Amino acid sequence: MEMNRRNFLKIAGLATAGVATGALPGKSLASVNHFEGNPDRKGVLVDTTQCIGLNCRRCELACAKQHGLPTPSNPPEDPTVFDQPRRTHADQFTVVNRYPGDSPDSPIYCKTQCMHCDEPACASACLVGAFSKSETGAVHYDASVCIGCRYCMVACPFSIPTYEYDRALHPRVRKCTFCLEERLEEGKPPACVEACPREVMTFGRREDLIKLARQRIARNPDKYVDHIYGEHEVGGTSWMYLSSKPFDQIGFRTDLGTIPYPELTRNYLSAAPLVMAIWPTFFLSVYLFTKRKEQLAEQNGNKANGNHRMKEEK
Amino acid sequence: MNIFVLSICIVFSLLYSGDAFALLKQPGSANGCSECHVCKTPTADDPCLRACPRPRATPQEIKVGPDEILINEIESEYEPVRFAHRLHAEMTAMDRGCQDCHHFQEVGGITACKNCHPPTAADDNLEQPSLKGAYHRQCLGCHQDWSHETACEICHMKKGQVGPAYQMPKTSPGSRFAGLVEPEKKVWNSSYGGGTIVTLHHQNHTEKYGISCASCHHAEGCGSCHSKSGETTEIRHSEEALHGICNACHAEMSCKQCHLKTEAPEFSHDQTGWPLKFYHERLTCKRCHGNPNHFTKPTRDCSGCHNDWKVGTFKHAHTGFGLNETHVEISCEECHVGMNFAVPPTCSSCHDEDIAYPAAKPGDKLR
Repeated sequence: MEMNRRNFLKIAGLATAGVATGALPGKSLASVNHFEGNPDRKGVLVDTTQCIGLNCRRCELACAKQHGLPTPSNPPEDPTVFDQPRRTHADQFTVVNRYPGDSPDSPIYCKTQCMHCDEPACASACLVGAFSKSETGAVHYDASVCIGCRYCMVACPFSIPTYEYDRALHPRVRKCTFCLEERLEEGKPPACVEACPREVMTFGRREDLIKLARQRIARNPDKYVDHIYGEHEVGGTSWMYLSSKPFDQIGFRTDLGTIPYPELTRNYLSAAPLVMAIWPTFFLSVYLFTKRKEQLAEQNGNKANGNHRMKEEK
Repeated sequence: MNIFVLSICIVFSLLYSGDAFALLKQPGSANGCSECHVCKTPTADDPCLRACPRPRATPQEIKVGPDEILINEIESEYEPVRFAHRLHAEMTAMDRGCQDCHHFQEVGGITACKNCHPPTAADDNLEQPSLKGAYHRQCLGCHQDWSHETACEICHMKKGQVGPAYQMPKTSPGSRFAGLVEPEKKVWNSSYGGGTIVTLHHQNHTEKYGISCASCHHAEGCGSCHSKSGETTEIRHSEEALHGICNACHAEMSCKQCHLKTEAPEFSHDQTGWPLKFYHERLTCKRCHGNPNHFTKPTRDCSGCHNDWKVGTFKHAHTGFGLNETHVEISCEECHVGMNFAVPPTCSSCHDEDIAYPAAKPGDKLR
C-alpha cells in the first residue's frame, strides 16, 4: 500500500480510537462528570448536634470490638482524651473529637471515620487496584494485592487511611470498612451506628438520607447550618454530616470542592495511552514517508544518471 | 358549552399533571400524605394512619401529669426506670415546657413516647428515632454522668435491685449541668436622660424577696444558669422585655426611681421606717408581705401577723424582754395602754411616779 497523506491520517485515526476504547473500561471515564452508581447504595447521616461524646464514645468501642482491635486506651470517662484532636489510627478506625460550641458547657462532638467517597481518591491513586467502591456504598480495601506504596494515604482528602508501621511482615493499610463483610452485605448497619445510644447516626439509602437531612434542616433552620457535608464534597460521600456550626469549626475541610478527586487526574492520565500509541505511529510514519522520498529520489537519480551515461556513450 | 368543555379540560389537565395532590398537602408539611398515612393509597375503610399526630402539644398544668412514670420496656434485663415526671416537668417549664418531650398531641390528650417511636429503628421511617434512641436523646443530654457498661444502673436498676428514684447530683464532673451560678447584682447602662444606671440586686430578689427563677426567665436553656464552668451566660433581653419583667412588680414606680446617676445601694428595710430587728430580720419578705409578685403592706400592730399572741399564751420573752414573776401575771393592758404596743409602756396604773419605764424595768432585757 502506498503511504500517502490520506492513508496516514486513516491509520492514525484508527489507532487512536482503538487505544481509547481498549484502554478505558466501560463508560468512557473522561466524559463522565458525576458518579451515578448504584442508586440503592447505603450511607450514614451523622447528626453532630446529638452526639454527647464524653462518657460515651460507644462507637469507638463497638468498632474496636467488631474488628478485633485493642480497646481505646483512654476510658470513656476520661475528659482529657478530647484535649487534642485525634486522628484515625491503624488500631482505631473511628475517633470522636471535641470542638468548642456556643458556651463552654455545650461543646460539639464529632465522629471521624472513612467517608466512603462515591469516587474515592484512594482508589484512583492505588497502583494495583487494592481499593474499590462496592455497590453497597463501602470503599473496600483488599490487603492481598496491596504493595504498601501508601499512595492512598497521600491521596485521601480526609487523611483517613493509616498504615501498620509496627508490623514487620505484611503490613496493611487500615481504615474504616463500613463493616462491609461483617454486616453491610447482610443489610445490617455498621457496628458503631448500632451501638450509639442516641442514634446520632442514621443508616439507610444515601438518597433517602439526603432527603431526611434536608427535612431536618428545613424543620429546624435555627439549629442547623444549611449544608449537608458529604452531599457534594469531592463528588459525594456515603457518610454525611449535619452540624450546628460551620463545618470548618468542627474539624472538616471546606476547601475540597465538589469535583471528584479522580477527575482531577483523569484527563491527564487518559491522554497517556494516546500519547504512547500516537507518537510511535506518527514518528514511524514520518520516518517511512521521508525514507520513501529519499528512496524515490535515489531511484530517480540513478535513472537520470543512467540516461546521461547512455547519451554520452551515444 | 365551550366554557363547560374548557373547564373540564382544565380540571383533567390539573389531575394528570401529577401535582393535583399538592393541593391537598398541608401548608408547611414536608411529606404531604405520608406524614399521616403509612400506605400509598389510604381508603376510608383502611386509612392506615400513623400513630403519630402532628398538632403541637398544648401546654398543660404540671399537676395534671403524673409524679412518677415507670418505664418498663426492657423488664427482662432491668427493673423499670423510675422517671421523676413532675420534677422534670418543673425543670422544663423554664424552657419549652411539655413540648420538650411531648412534641405532638393526639386528640384527647398527651401521647406516650412509645405511641410514636417504634421499638427498633424502621427503614421506612428514618426520621424517627427508635424508642431507645428517643429516650436516650431526652435523658443523656443532661445526665452525662453515666458511663459505659457499669453505670447504666444510674437509671436502669439491675433486676432485683430497687433503690430510690435517680437524683441528679448538684455538682458532678460528668453531668452537663452543675450547680446554679447566680450573679449577686446586675448593672445596666441605659440611654435614659434622667439617669443612666439601673441596678438589679439579683440575689436579693431570689433569696430575700423569694421571686422564683421562672417568673423572669422563660425559654432559656438549663446551661445558662447551671453552668459547669462557673460563668453565667449573658441572658439578653430586649429593652421592652426587661421593662415588662420589672414592671410586673414595680409598675407604680417612676422612671427615676430605677434609672439613677449612681449604682443603687441594696434595699434596706430601715428606709420604710420599720427597721428589722431580732426575729424579723431573719424572715423572708413574703412571710409578712404575702405573694412575692405583689407585696402588701402589713399593719403595724403585732397581732396583724401574730394572731396567736393572746393573753395566757403569749411569751413576752419573744420581744427580747423577759418579764419577772410578778409582771408575768398581770394583763397586757395594765402597761400597754389601749393595747397600743407601738408606744412605750407606762407603769402608772400600779406604781407611783418615781417608778417609770425605762429607768425601772419589769424584768430583764434579753438582748
